[in-house]
Parts: sequence; structure tokens; C-alpha cells
Amino acid sequence: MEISEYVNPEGLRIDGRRRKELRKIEIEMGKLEQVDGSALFVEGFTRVMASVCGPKEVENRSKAVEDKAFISVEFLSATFSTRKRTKMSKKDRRVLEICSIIRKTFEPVLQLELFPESEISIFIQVLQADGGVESACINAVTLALIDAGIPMIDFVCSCTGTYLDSFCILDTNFIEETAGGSILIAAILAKSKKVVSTQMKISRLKMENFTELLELVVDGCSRIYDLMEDATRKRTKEQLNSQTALIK
Amino acid sequence: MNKKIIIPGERIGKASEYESGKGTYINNNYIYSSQLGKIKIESKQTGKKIIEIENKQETAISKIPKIGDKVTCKVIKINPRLIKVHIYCVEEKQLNEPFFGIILTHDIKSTEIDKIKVENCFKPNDVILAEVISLGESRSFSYYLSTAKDDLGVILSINSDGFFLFPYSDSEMICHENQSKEKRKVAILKK
Repeated sequence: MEISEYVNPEGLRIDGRRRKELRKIEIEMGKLEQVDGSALFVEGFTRVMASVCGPKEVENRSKAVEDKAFISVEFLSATFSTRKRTKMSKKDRRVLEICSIIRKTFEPVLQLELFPESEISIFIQVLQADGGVESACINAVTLALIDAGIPMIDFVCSCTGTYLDSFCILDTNFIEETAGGSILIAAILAKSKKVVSTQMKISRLKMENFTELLELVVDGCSRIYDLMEDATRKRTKEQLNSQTALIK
Repeated sequence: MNKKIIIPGERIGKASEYESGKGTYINNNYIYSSQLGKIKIESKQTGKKIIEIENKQETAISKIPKIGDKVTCKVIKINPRLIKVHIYCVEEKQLNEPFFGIILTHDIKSTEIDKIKVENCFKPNDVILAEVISLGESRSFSYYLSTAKDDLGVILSINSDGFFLFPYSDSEMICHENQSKEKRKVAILKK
């Protein structure tokens, strides 16, 4: 399919959104019973399930750190999640990249020094990929960690943006992501507004455009945070209500 | 009482007014929360108020053994030098998967340390109560436990015929079916 313009003169994108509009976000927490914490993050057609186990005994003993917990990340992309029906191996370059993004984002945020010589394992399963997979993974992992009750200093939110056709676009879908613009993935600490990690793909961008894009993405992050905050509060309320109902 | 639900990263008080408790941390003279839950303020006798986040769900912190915790374990292997155990419970919290623990021979009893014979104290599959005395070295990866107290030792045991053994004295257990006695380091539980 040849696309001549990604933002039409009326200011609408291919999927009918405006430039700074997010896709519909759905959040479900604590769906899986077998793990300590889990969350499903749905953003448009992107659908990511994250689960957290731990803190527990270190599986691979040579990886253990003496004075803090070790984070292990496993990323699985379902064969049916992308347009090409291909199986990703565990040592695929993209898989390793996402794993390291997740680890580097969460290492400074979690209070790992409370659990010496233990392991926190994070599993990510992509059920449907339609752009912004990395951001959705970070958001899902945050919610799963909160569900597991692992102490963290702040809420991490992430969003993706791109610079296309001399426009800054928020929350890219698959077509916009593969269009060849520079993609920026940023994760911020929602309360203190600090940027924890940024990733650039195909980085050929003017400095003033970069600052504009970063501002847009950070704004998107804080909007996603509001939704995530609502979802966690709602879930906790339900949990507390069900507990009191049981006691009665 | 404030019933608001607190999420991680929220500012909940000044460090000069309160002391930081469970589920909170201090940054730049303010106390922030690090967990999901409700605020609970406890005042100490010294006048200081402790602020902590209360969550009825079992949180991750409580599931890791600390020094001084009483743990419930199962004996896996014995040899003359040490006993290997699996830790299944920390205080009253059940673990999802066991931790490994080691009891060295001289930590079994507090008296007559030189004369201890491991086979007279524990058998594989015994359920024992023990106390964590060390978190272990970086290489060994097991918690060091001790049963050198009266209320620590075997609490549940089954003999070779498949019958339960009951405490008889502090060093013996008896089977009510055939009146046979076996030697164990028995925990004397106070009611």
C-alpha cells in the first residue's frame, strides 16, 4: 500500500486520529493466578501481557548480585502477533534489545537493595503488535510490578512518538512506525517528571525537532499515567471491597 | 482516618514530622510511598509517629527471610557436618517456592556441642522450626539456620512404619502405635 501523506490537510492521521491523540487504552491487573503479579495493557491493537515472579531464589547462580536483587527479563512475541507470521528466537537482536530496555528502565526505579541475593523475573508476552510495543511493555511491567507489591520509588510510564512529514506524531501505530521517520521511545517517572530512558530509532533529526518531539512524548506519558493511576486505584478498591465482604 | 488509596511515588508526608516505615522511602526531606495500599499512622511511646503503607495482600518484603525470623522447614539431606533443608514458611507467611537453608552441626543444640550426632537429632523429611542466623555467603546461596533454643527443633515426624511420632522428652519422640522411641531434637512448644 502506497501512502502519500501520513497527516492529511485536515490534520487527521491514517487511522483517523489527530496528531496528539492517544489510542484507546485498556488495563487489566491481576489476571493470572500462578504468578505474583500480572497485568494486561491494551493500546489500540497492541496487546501486551506482563507477569512478575519474585523475589525468589536465583536460578542461575552465577548471575546473582551480593547486595541487591537481580532482574531477569524474558520477552516472547507470539507468532500470530505481527503481520509476518514468523517465529522470533530468544536470541533475536530485537528481543535482546527490548529485554535490555526493560532492565535498564526498571533497575533505578525498583528498591532492589531490599532483597539481597534474590531474583525478580519479568515475563512479557506480546499478543498483538501494532506499533509502540516497547512502550506498552514498559507500561505493562510497571502495572505487574505494582500488582506484585514490589517496592518502587515511582510510577514508570512510557510512550512512543515519531517525526513524520515534518510533523510530530504521538502514539504511533505499525504503519507510522515503519514509515521511516525517527522514532522516539521515552519512559518517565510520573510523579517527579524525570526521564528514565529514551530510545531513538533511525536517528536523523534536527535538535529543535527533537526537543519538540520529546516534549510531546513526555506529555503523552503523563496522559497515559492518569489512565494507569485510575486503573490501579479502581483495582485496589475492588480488592479491598471483596476482602471486607469476605470478612463479613 | 484517611481512606485514600496510595500509589507508588506519591508524596505522603514530611520527614520532620514522621518516621518512614514499611513501604515508604525518604527523598529530599519528604516521605514517599513505594507500594500500593492505604496509609497507616502509628505513634510510638517516644512521641515519634511512624508512617507506613498497609496492604492486606501479602507483599514481597515479608516473603524474604530476615535474620531472627522463625522459619518452618523440611529436612532434605543430612550428613555428619551439616543438614540441608528447604524453607517453606517465614514466620506465618507461606512461600510460593522454597528457599534453601543449611544448619551446621554446632548450631543444632546450645549444650554439649562436641557430642552432637546429626542422626540423633534429625532425619530426612522431618518438619522443623528454626531461626535464621545468617543470610549466607555469596557463593553458597543458602540461609544459615539454627535450632539452638528450646522452642526450636522437630515439630512433625513420621517413622519408617508410616506412623506419626509425638514428643516424649526434649530428645526423644514416641510412636503411640507400637511404643517405639526415636531420638530427635524436639521443639518444646509453649502454649
